[in-house]
Amino acid sequence: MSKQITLNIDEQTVTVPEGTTILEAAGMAEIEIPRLCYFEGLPPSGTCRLCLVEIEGQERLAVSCTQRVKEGMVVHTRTERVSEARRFVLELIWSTHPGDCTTCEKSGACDLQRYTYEYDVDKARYPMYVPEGSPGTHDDPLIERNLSLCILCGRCIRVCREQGQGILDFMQRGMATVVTTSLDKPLLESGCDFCGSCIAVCPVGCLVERNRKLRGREWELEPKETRCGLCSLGCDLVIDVAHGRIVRTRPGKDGYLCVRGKFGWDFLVSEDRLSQPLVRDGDAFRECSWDEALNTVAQHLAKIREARGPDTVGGVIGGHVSNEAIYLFGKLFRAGVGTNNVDSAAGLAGANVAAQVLDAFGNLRPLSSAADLERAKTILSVGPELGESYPRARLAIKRAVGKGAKLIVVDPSESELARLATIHLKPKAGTEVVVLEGVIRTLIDEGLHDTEFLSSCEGSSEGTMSVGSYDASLTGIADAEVQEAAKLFAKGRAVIALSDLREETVARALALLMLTGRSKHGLLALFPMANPWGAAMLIRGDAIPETAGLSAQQMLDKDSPIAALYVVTADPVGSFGGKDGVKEKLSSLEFLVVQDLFLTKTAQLADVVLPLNGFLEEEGTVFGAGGKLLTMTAAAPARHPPLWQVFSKLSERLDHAMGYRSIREIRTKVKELISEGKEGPTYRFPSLTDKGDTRAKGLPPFSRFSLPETSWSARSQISTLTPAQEATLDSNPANTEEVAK
Amino acid sequence: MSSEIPAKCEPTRVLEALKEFANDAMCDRCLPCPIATRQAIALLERVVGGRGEAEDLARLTRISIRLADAARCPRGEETANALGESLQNNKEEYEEHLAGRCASGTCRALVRFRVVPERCTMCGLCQEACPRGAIVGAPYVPYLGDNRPYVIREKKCDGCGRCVEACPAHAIERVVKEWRCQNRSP
Repeated sequence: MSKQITLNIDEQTVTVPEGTTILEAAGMAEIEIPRLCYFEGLPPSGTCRLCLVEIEGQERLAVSCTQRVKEGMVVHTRTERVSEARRFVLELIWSTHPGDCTTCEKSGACDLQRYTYEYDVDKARYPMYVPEGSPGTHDDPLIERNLSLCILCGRCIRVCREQGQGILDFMQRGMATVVTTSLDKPLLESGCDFCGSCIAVCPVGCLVERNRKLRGREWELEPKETRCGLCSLGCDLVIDVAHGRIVRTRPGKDGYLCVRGKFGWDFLVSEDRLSQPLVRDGDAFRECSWDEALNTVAQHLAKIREARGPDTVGGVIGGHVSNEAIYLFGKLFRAGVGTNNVDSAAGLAGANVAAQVLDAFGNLRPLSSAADLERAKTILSVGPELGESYPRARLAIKRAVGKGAKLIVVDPSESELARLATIHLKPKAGTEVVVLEGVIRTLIDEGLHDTEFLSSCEGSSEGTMSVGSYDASLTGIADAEVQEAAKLFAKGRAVIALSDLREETVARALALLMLTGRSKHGLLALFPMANPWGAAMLIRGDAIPETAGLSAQQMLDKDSPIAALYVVTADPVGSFGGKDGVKEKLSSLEFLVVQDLFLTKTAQLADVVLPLNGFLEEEGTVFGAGGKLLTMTAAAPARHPPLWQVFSKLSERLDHAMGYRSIREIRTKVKELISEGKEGPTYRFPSLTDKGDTRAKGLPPFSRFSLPETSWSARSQISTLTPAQEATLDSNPANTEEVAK
Repeated sequence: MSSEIPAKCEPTRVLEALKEFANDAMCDRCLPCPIATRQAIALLERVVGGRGEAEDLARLTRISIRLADAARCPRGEETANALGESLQNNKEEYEEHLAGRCASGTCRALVRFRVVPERCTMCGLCQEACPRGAIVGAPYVPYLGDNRPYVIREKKCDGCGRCVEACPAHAIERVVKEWRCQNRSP
């Protein structure tokens, strides 16, 4: 414990650790010192001079946000001299702040407004002085910058350096100082990634979300805490609702949201969203009631089950929905329809990672959250432009590197993370797997692997792991570099961040963890969906019929026996349109139900289209990146019946009443299946793979941990495509659409 | 009236010092200094421009006292103190300026000139030198009854003083506003 210091603030005796600033110490004693430039969590700058305090024995006033406490200090925060100095600063700010609080979005939450009231400031003491050529509102997307309201506190500059792209700074000097980008370029050209952190810290109305304009005043907002559902990291998120509409989102405890969480919810308020169930009427759709739609679905499913048997009916559910919905969907098919043909579409996007992790380690303890990533000492990032795709992971890595962590980046592109990297391995596109194999090879050759850990695995024998020698000509990376990376990786608490979720890459990442004995918090697999783990695991429920079911991929195969399909929040045609037969299969189905937010390409082929609530509109639990159960609350007003009700009603119409009266009951059921102990969540589900359940016996035999045959040799040929082949790839509309998305 | 070049008046001297500070030593590491200096410059410009109000001196005094407290560095504090000293020690001179008089003649806005008829030779060089066309009259023509002597139109004159330099007969002198008002011909 560090040294304690006792001082006196406003007649109160306060004891704080050494190194605390006066402002923080006062905060601990619940004495609030006004501040404009200080923001908790950012380095103090002492710019605004509002936190001035008087210290006995010091002639000059002291800046409390930068000055540290000393033993026996006597501080006064509310003397006349101090108040007058603060008032003076506020008067000066008002002489350059042409703000009209009546129309300002920030009114009600504006620090300047608040202190002006508290200190009874004469706003008009100094004549308004707006310099010539004063910058007005900038024409940026998403973020509105009204620089004439800027009070030069510099918070946005510091937060941008800490967790943004570091594009803002004070430009010019002296009286002409402005806060803007280099050369005053628009945000789009300056490298901004639109995380909106600057908006969250701006004390006045200079920076505001463009899409919140005129949606509600600050005092009308009802904040609700929930979690972001736009990728698998599940960041804390606070959503503000006014008049039944989403006004904005802002970061929760974590203090950071990326552009997706901050601005990406606008699809929820899109006018193109489905508002009513649709049933096919010839070539077109007509709107109908929920009852009619559900009856139609139930009748058709029952008819097809009758005529062709239950195994011609199938269901596919995406990874964007809650555990409860996934569980109930599985139950609807197993118990209601009587088939095992139910799978998660997340598997199509690589969510068999869950199966791979369970198979290798027997539990989900290897999963790491963003917080674990921040604490790591060694980080291996695998995947093209991982930082750009998952800004929260990029921030975590940036923070870890700031604390001295070593970063190894395997990325064919010169991405942002590559600039932070200790070692940047730049393989030819598609050969990342070979690089990882080279690292594994080195670990074994140099004896850097954890033999103790391996011997605790059953049937351990590293010799059984067949890793070929590393071929530098394939990847374009010299042996020495790979060896250096391997030596670096072998040390310290390591996390592998993975956005490349191909089976072979995941297998090698897991092998690396296993070889170095890292059985806890070592793998951060990043998915573009909220609930990949739940989707992969909970889709397997109890009351399983005898025959094994088809996977989503098998169901979508053109030769599959499926005649009726229920697709929830997945768009196989849009996502895999290029794949042979998916569209043909779906259009040749006897009956197709699609439930989604929008009329997707798959939905256009459907016989019945059901609308869906978005991620902020429905409550439920999801599995976070660290394997922990996270709760999502229904923060925004729901538009449609929740998924669990839809599934229950359908099941009822298929003569199997589930008997759930509320989502809580389902949650209890789901929690029964998951016992969260010290060991991390464990599951009493049947094995996820066909290899039998090994979890009960501790770690699985390492010898079984053979690396799956890679397709990298085929993938590496991508870089050696002939121009004609590339042209055919480019002309395929499905491919280009994927890129555009 | 002395025809020597007079010393700068106090408001102008302080104004120039502030401008020099703004262009040179001032940093932007704290908020009050740039804004307060900009305000002080704007206020002093009003004073020397004949647009000052009594309230402006109070505003300047407030800046001098409070900026010394609020500024981050000694440079800002010194500037504030210098402003305060000037205001305190030369209170009358500042008030004179508010009343429209600049005794030293530094403030062009407060200064006017007149042609002394006794010395004027009616050569017309002053009229040619005047950039604002403020001087009316015509060159002297002998034996002509209605010669028009040179007169400086008060409203057009901005006090630049080029006519004084141009006059070979030293016939143009500076007048302090009030004095001229008293002697204005009816």
